[in-house]
Amino acid sequence: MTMKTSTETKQLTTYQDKKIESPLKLALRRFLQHRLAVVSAFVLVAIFVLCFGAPLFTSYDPIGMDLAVRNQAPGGAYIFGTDTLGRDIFTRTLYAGRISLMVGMAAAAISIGLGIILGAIAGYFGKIPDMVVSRITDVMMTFPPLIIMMTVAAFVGPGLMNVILIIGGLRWPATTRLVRGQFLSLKNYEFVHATHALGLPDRMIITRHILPNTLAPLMANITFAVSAAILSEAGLSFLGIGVPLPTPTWGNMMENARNLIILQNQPWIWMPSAAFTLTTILCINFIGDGLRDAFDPQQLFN
Amino acid sequence: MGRYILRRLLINIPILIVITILVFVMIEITPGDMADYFMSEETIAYMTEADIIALRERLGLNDPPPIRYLKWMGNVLQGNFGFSFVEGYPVGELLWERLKNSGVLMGAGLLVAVILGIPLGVFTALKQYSLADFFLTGLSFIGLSMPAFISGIIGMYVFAVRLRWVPAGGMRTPMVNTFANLLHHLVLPASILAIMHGAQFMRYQRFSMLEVLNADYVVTATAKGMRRRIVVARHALRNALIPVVTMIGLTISQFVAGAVFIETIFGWPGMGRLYYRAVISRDYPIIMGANLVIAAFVLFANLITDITYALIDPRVRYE
Repeated sequence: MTMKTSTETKQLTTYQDKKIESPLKLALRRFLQHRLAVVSAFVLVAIFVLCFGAPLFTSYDPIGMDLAVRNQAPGGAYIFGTDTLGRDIFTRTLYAGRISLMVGMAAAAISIGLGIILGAIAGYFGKIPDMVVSRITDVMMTFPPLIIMMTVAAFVGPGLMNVILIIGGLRWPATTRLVRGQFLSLKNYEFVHATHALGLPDRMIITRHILPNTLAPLMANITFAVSAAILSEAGLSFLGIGVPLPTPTWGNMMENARNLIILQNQPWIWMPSAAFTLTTILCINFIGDGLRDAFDPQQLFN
Repeated sequence: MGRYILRRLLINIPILIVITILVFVMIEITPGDMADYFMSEETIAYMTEADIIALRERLGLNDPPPIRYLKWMGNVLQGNFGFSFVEGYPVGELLWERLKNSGVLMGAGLLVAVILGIPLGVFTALKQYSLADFFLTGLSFIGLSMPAFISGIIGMYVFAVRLRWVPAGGMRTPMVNTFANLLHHLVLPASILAIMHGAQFMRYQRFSMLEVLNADYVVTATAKGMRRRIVVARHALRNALIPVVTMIGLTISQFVAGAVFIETIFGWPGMGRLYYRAVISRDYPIIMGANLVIAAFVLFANLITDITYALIDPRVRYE
């Protein structure tokens, strides 16, 4: 409570000084006050640097095998040990991170893009487009998403591109609902009526005038979409219907743990990827939490 | 209300038909069919052209797709879901068996989740910003972010492999048919589910409780000099529970699909694992049947949730 009051007084003085911050600056300042979110952002940057700069941190080949050094425990030349084919786990974990993070971001980009387009159309035009989009979203949101993804993944077969398209193509309903709701309320504002009066085409009104106003609530949704997509890839690969071997991903490295012997005797094979996945997801979710608080207009004036 | 329920039930029928048609079309457009199951590298050498035609005829694969769909639907309406050649059992029998097993796991998990989550949510809301609140809310955030396959393998590694407190998988020790044995197998996977969903219920309950505690009528009750305990239990909690009930209903609707990850990791013979295996081995009769059952259950559970919602909240009325 005390923290809130202090922000409040600070707010009041800024208004009195007539130094009004831009909304983005204000959100940034509020985000920086969320300590956990800031720490998470740093950790996430570190993970990205490690994964995408992998050749700088390790000289091993993530795919080439060396049967002479199979199943080495961590320590010595291999800090995280080696797997059943003699590949360095540390190297594979970093390269796996590249794929997992890229799949997550690409899939999230697709689902958010689809979500914004469909949500905008449904919310802005209403009537039949709205009915069609809303019914599809309703059905897709009631059916367990994993069941749909598993079914489609098994039918179209494994592959990097397929996984991205499946996750991106099935995860949009949440974004659609959010954007649709925003459009429904925003389209009745006076500034939108003004754009109609000026005779702007619908496309301009949607992209230039309404859409920028939905960005604040979308920010948190975007971060959660990325973490959900990373988890979906990991889940599908864990089940062996995601990204196929030998390409390493965090999910298919964890798949090794389904073998009871590896689970028991070589925990170093699956633990690093589990730790990386968990840390990444926690960081993204904390950042999303911070963004939601930072952009929440209700908390501004409370 | 009666008319509302009837209308909802009728609306669900076309949705079910559309879902089964979608699954059927997907099976149709992927190459290969049920006959492939009987034709391996070895058997094909002994089969003549006539054998293959006879086989396809026997499996009913020579009919055009729409006729095959209608035949399937007709059989389902008579309670016949077909036969799974992969598992070697009639599909209806399998689905029922696995549904019961999933029900045991999910039911136990959900029950513990509710017993844990709701009181903790109320407690943390009442003690907002205290150390206990900070700690428990932080834990629930981790519980929410933790995917089932990670908590599953870590739980299995720690409690089954290292500590050896519980068996490493399965539902019963073969030939042992006691309740204690089932419980011994159940405790770990059910606990993992309970923590996952309990964390979710707790956060939701805390949020809705905080909202209600700030409502004017709660302030009024307190101002009248009513004791805190009565204000919380009679006035605040009852309203704060309403959104949580919906949340629980939504969770139940997802349950019939089984906890795919937990069931595959722990070798629990439930719906999730059955469906996973069916999808991997292209076991079409099971894929069709399971989707119908899952969809029907989801729609039914949603209806029940909406009805419960109207029953506990007098402000909600369905016309």
